[in-house]
Amino acid sequence: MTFFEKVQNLDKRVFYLLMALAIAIPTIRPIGLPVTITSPVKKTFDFVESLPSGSVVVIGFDYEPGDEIELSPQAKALFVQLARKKIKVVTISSFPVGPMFAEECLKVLKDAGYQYGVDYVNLGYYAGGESTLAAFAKNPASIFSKDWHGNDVASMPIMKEITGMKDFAMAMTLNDGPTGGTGTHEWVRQSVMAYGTPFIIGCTGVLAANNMPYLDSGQVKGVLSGLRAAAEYEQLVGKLGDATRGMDAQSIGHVLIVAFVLLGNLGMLASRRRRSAGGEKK
Amino acid sequence: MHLAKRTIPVAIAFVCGIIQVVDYFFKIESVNTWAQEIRSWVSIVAIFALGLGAVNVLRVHLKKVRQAPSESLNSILLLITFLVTISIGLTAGQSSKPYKFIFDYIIVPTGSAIFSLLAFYIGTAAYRAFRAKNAEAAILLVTGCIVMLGKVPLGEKIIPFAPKWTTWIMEVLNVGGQRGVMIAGAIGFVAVSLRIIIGLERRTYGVD
Repeated sequence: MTFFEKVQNLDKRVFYLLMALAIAIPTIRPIGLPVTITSPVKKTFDFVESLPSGSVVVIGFDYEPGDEIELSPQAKALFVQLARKKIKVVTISSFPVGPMFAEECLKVLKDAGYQYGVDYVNLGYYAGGESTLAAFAKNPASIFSKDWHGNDVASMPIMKEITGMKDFAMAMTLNDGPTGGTGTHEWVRQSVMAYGTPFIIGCTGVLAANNMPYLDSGQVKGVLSGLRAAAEYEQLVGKLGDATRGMDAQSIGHVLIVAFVLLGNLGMLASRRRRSAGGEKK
Repeated sequence: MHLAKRTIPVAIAFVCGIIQVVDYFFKIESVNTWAQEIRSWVSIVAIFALGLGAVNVLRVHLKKVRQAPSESLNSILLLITFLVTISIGLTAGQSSKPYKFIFDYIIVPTGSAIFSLLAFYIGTAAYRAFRAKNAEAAILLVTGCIVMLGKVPLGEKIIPFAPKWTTWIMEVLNVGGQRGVMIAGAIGFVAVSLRIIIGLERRTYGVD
């Protein structure tokens, strides 16, 4: 086997080892590469900044453990900004594990002095996807009579201000796709299209392409996609965290994949040239 | 049999579907109230489906364990974790420390670990399959590499124009293509919904 053929067919265990090192080393010893702010993230930040203090927003924690690393940092960075602006928060979830993630992220508000039931509430899980979200949008009390902790929702001061989706100053979903939960398209239909509530999408990196048309058309006010958006948001709110640390590992991981792809192609081109040169000689 | 299997489900779907459509476009108080009521039922039906799913998982794995106990280690583990999690959730509650322990130290790490394996599989798959064998593949390869580098700070250091090109690829090329796909998908969605409402989509009702 020639060198070029070897390059094209490297043992995948070599790649696995290099990838493991590429992720582990920067995670243990962060490099601190600077992240530039992109326009979708800046638009999101500016929109949230324009919300009136004391208004109420609803946020859907529509993701599962596999995507927690990308979406929880987005939520935490956003909550820092919401806490500074004294904006109240209602969380719901279309996945059974969603309320646990919400609870974890809501600690940012608790630490900022927010009072449960007055300034924020975790309503918990709802089954039924878009139909149930539509029912919530029309009348939240018809879906949630108790919150995630089992408290009576009707008696909470924060919920007395809310009669439907139209009363929220902003809606947002932190979303890893429609499989098993409520997707971004369903949220757009039930918040923006039905009630004109300003809407923001926080999604995983792979879903960015699907959601960009909404930003371009003006139907959503901002799109945060993947860990990168979370890192940018951490910079904008001035509180660096998990996303900024994770970007170093993601950086080296991406560069490693690109390097391997280029290596494979160089090998292929060189072998082709060698074969055609050999053919000409014959 | 035909009445129970086909006529009644089609009639229910027709009434519920038409009420939802009328509710969205018109302000008729009685219709709006019925529509909201139906949407609440969906939530209840979905909860029952969830319970049914749980019972089904139990049935399938209990059967496996009974048939071949020595070859059913995974099923036994599934049943144990399933029953332990449900018992703790029902007795101590979801906010309790034991439940949170299961969530923080078992569910989240295992879920993340399985998902993170994608980085390894996608990486090797890209290395083996991403070859510029023709013009289309070359365009895809170059675009993919620019977007991958443009999305990370180190890529920006290697190719300074990568973020700018990535933004253009995502906001111009991608949006144009995605918009076409979304509009076509939406039209298809309307057509399928109409077929379900009027009973033409037979598979929805369990008829081949």
